[in-house]
Amino acid sequence: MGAATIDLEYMERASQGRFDLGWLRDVRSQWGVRAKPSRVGLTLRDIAVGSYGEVPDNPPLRTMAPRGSDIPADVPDMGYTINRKAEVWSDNVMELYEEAVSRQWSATRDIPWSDLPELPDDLEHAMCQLATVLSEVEMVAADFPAKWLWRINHDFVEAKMFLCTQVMDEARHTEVFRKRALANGGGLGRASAVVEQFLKLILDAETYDEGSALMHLLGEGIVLSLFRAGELLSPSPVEKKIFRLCMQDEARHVAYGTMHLRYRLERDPSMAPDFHAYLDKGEELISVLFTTPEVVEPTAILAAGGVKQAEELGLAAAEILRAQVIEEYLERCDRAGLSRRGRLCIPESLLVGVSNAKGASDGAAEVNRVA
Amino acid sequence: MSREAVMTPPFPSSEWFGALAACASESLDFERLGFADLRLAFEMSDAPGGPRSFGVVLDGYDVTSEGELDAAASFDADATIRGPLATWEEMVSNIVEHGMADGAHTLNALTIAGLPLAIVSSDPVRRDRVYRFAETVQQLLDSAAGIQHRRAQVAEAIS
Repeated sequence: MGAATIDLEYMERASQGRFDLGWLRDVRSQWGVRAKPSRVGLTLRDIAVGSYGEVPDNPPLRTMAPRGSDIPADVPDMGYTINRKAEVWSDNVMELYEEAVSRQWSATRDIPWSDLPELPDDLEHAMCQLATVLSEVEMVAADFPAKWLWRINHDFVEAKMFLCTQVMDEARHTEVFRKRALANGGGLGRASAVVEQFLKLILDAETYDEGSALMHLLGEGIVLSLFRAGELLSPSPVEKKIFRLCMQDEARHVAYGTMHLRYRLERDPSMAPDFHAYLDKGEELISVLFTTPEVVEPTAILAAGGVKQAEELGLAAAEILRAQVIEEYLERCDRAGLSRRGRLCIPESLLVGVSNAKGASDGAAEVNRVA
Repeated sequence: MSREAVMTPPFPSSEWFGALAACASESLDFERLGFADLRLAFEMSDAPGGPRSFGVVLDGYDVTSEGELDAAASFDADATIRGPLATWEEMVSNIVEHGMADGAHTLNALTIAGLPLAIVSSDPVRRDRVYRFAETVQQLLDSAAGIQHRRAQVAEAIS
């Protein structure tokens, strides 16, 4: 790459009105393209027309030039390392980006903080501990895409844009749970070494494939179920709204992760053993979460309505939640084309209530049923 | 104004779901949540005479009722919310009484364990759409609280 220099001769010519106009005359990109807005506005899908809608499987260049533009030979190589479409793409990525942008919300404006009721100390402690755990885990789902974004070829810009929305979503989740912990007198609770070991596994992933499987499919699938449980267990409509709004964002990320893995495996089935190995490692570690007091006990106390009631009821609610989490995870793996039934790395004792955890997937089972 | 005009249509019925969609469409909150894309069937599994299903479509910022479904398959729902009629009636009564679902009667609370209501789909990614639009779906259902008020307003405007 040559150093950029100021073209003094051009400046002289241009000042006399003798423009270059090469950019106007020698255009190879498509003239006359008119993308038509759909009912909600002009979407990414709407502008995926003609050659502009063609996303190459293996882009020949590593520049930041917009896909479909005329690219001079001296545009520098950006050193991207993710240059195969299948490494990041999913068929739903454009709609997920649009959905994310349309459905952004504000933790400051959209949560009725002043309606938070005074809670008994044990419930406030439990709510704050749950908020602490969630504030702890959510930012990794911003750090991970941020770590990989600059390495992704610019021809996959729609996937990059979706990952940018995820970064913003997770910032907001970190924010909203931190705010909840500090808004009602309880404050932050205790962080967890086990939780952070799983986060480190995601951050340290050697490939985007590995990290995405661990985070989008496994980790966020579990957090999505935790958000659903949080909505059920919330002591007031304020927390319920928080969990429902977070649930929406998380479900988008899981939808990307599931369909991305499917896209990846359809194009390279030989990678299945690699993904199994990633998930073996992740499941082993994440199983420990189900026996971590900082995670399990707040949900049990919120479900029962207090510490004393929880001591009487035990972990009945947590067990229902656990079965739900694992069942939905298995269904998503099936959908992605990577059946984990029969090779789950989760102890048998934690699989009570999970249907067909060890058997072959029939692929058409009705979902969201707890045995 | 006629008495019939201000009466809330019976639940479940195509008229009731139509009124629900109309109420939600007029809500500013509904639009502020952002656009949605979801085909949802509500099924009363033990209704007298056999299961009854009603279709609702969230499309962009619009919500439309497809009325009672003769054949659920032709509606091509992303997911079906299925459960006993009594649970549905209790949920609607709760919403009307409180102006919105209380903690035990949100759609998420009623479906999370698969009982008493279940979210059923042959495709988990399409099932997960219910979660992606969770707040919009809850706002839709909470619109049941406004059906009678809206019908009274419409009747007054006509008379």
